[in-house]
Amino acid sequence: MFSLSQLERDIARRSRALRGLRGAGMAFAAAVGVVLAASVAIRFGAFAPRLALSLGALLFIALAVLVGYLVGRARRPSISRLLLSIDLALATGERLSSLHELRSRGAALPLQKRIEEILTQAPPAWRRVLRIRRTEVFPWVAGGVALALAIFLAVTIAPPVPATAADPGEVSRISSKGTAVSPSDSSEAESDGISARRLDPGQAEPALPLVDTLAEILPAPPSRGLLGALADEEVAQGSPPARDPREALSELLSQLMSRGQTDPRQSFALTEQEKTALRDLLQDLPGSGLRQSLSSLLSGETGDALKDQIAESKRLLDSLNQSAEGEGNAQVDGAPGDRKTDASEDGSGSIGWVPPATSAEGNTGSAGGGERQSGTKLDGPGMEDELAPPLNDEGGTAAGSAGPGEESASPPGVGFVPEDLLGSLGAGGDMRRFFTKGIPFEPPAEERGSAAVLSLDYETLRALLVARAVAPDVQALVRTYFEKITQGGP
Amino acid sequence: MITERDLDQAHALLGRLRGAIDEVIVGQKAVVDATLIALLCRGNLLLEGVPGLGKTLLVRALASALGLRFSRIQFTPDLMPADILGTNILSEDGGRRQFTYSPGPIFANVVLADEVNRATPKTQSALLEAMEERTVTVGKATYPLEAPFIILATQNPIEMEGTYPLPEAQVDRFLFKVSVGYPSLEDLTVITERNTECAGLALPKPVASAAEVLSAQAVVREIPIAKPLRQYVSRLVLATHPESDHAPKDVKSFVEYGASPRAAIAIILGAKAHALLAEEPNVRKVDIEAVFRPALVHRVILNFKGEAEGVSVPTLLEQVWKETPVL
Repeated sequence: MFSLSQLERDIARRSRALRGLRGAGMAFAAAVGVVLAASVAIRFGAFAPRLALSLGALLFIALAVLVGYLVGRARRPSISRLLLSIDLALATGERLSSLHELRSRGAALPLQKRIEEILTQAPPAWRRVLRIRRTEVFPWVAGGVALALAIFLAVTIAPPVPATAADPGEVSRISSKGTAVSPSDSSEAESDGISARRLDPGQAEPALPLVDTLAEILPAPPSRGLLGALADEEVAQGSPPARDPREALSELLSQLMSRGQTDPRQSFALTEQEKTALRDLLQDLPGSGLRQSLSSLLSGETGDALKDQIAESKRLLDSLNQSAEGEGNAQVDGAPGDRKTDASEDGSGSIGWVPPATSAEGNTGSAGGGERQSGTKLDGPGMEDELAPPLNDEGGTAAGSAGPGEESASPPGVGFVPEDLLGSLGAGGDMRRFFTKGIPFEPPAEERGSAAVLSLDYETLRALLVARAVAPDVQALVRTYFEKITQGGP
Repeated sequence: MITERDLDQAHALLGRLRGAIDEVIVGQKAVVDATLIALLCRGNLLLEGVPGLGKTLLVRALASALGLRFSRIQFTPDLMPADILGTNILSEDGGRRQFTYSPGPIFANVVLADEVNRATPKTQSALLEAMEERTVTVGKATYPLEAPFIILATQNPIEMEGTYPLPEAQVDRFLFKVSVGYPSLEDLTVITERNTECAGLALPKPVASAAEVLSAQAVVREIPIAKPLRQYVSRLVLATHPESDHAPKDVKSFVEYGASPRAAIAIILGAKAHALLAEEPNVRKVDIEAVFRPALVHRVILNFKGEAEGVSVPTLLEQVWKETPVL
């Protein structure tokens, strides 16, 4: 026998479950929408991603689903309407709803009996009507898609970038304008190393005369560019290569000259250790002139005479190096077009910086530390202008008080090799920052006239380098660089 | 409280009546059903159609099949209310003169008001009380009409000259307004055969009694209709009102007055009677659909714009039906 009471209970239970499902689905979609919005906000840097945030988002979604289910389930369905909807869907002749009406009225028993007989013979398949429909599924599908998107965003969010990192747009601006850097962008000055690494090789201008000047004084493999070579050397720091005696001698003489400049006493003399090193190097050196000059250093002279002798030895050694490197330098100097082509082909360019495969964090940290040491002097608005030589119409710098008298101390074409340079870099990271800040990007032709003029002369810069205890070799390199780019002028 | 027997008797009665009417009337099933429904609902029926379609014959056949008292009133412009309702006449009884009431033709079970729109509104209005209250008031006396009572009025839609449109109050008292259409080819062939081959068209013999009709009328009221369906009917009726939120766009534009609450009652009662006719134990949506148009078509009054643009009420009702959701 057909039991309307049982049917009504089943229908009510099923209906409440479906309502709960619908409510939960809507709540799920809404909650996921919120989470997705938060993910997008994180993606665009509105706030930093945290594990607690992810867990909170999951908890929020679960809570929303639960509340949605309970709220949806709490709404009491209208049985008569439900029955009529089933009647209409199953074309039962509206018997279920009519029977419900008759039972609620408690009248017309013959009619009630007839309806029940009909329903007993053909029980309505009401579960077909009260099934999960698209309206219930859609919020779940939409929410699922949104959740997948949110998870994707969360997974693919890059680790927090240090605040010092300049964005690519800023880097492009630096590379194209050279000295015209926003004064307010102090973070840019702090992280020039990172900025240089992020330079787009396609946007860089590999054929810059000032970079070529750097290449002259720091010969690097043309295909990698100067800084690429430096990076390669930095990677290979763990196993220093065998040094050329002349290079070692040059380094030693430079150190002696540097010490002589800082020691005004007439009693200035070589230490036993320096003499021993000089003797060792003397054995491997060709050239009688240079050997004689070096031998006189070991004769026990002191004061200005010793300083003059050191300078003379250095000059001779440089001359010897120049003549020896003539062929190699000619290869570099004589084919700038090839260098450009290579640079553009390998994507690094002569100003490109290949990120070192190791010790990246250490470098960044040390660079930051260096900035903290330099304080306001380096972080000022004109930092880029100070370190990047401004260009006049001839492509030279307008600055530099390096007078002719100082040329003798460090003649052009000193010919540092990266090994020497990197060997004296130390752990401070100043060298890198120095180089990256000093990358002399040329401003576009139309901007040259209005480009900021470098107010830094060599003496100021030298004082700066000395104050920061930069190695004498590097100081000599800077001087050579200044001389090169000013072509001996002021 | 009805019994199983009442229900069976009602079904049997309706079967017999339908069979008896079908002996005389060929085709016109919708019209016959509407007539029977009006009878079961204690309502009145307005039949509209051109002459010669069997309107009068249908009423006569029904009256004959019911075995009830039948009277026919031919409405003409000079017809007076007293000609319908009756009047007090001076009579002499034992030397004593007094006014006695002489009932008019309205005192019957089945009254045919033929071409009702040809009488003046004053005469037409004489039917109002009889149609609704089932009573007749003459002078100071009110006389009840014998149950079952039904007025079946006919009117010609094309010969409008010299006619008086029925007042809205009277039109609203008709349960249904049914348009009698032309018979089909097959039906017309049978009609000609029946009217030309035999000696003459004989009216059916009585197959029912007044008691059976009254019992069937009681059964109709017991037929259940689900509450949501009842609400649906209310929405349908409200949708004919231009000021209603349920009204379709055309109703808002072209309708002056929508259907009255009598329309909702007519639909629900008619749907119940329709279900009983179909031997169904309850009202279905199809029952409502069957009586929706005849119950509303004469109760919706177009505005000037609707009249000017030739909007048809059945078309508006079709829109109302389509745009009103069941739930």
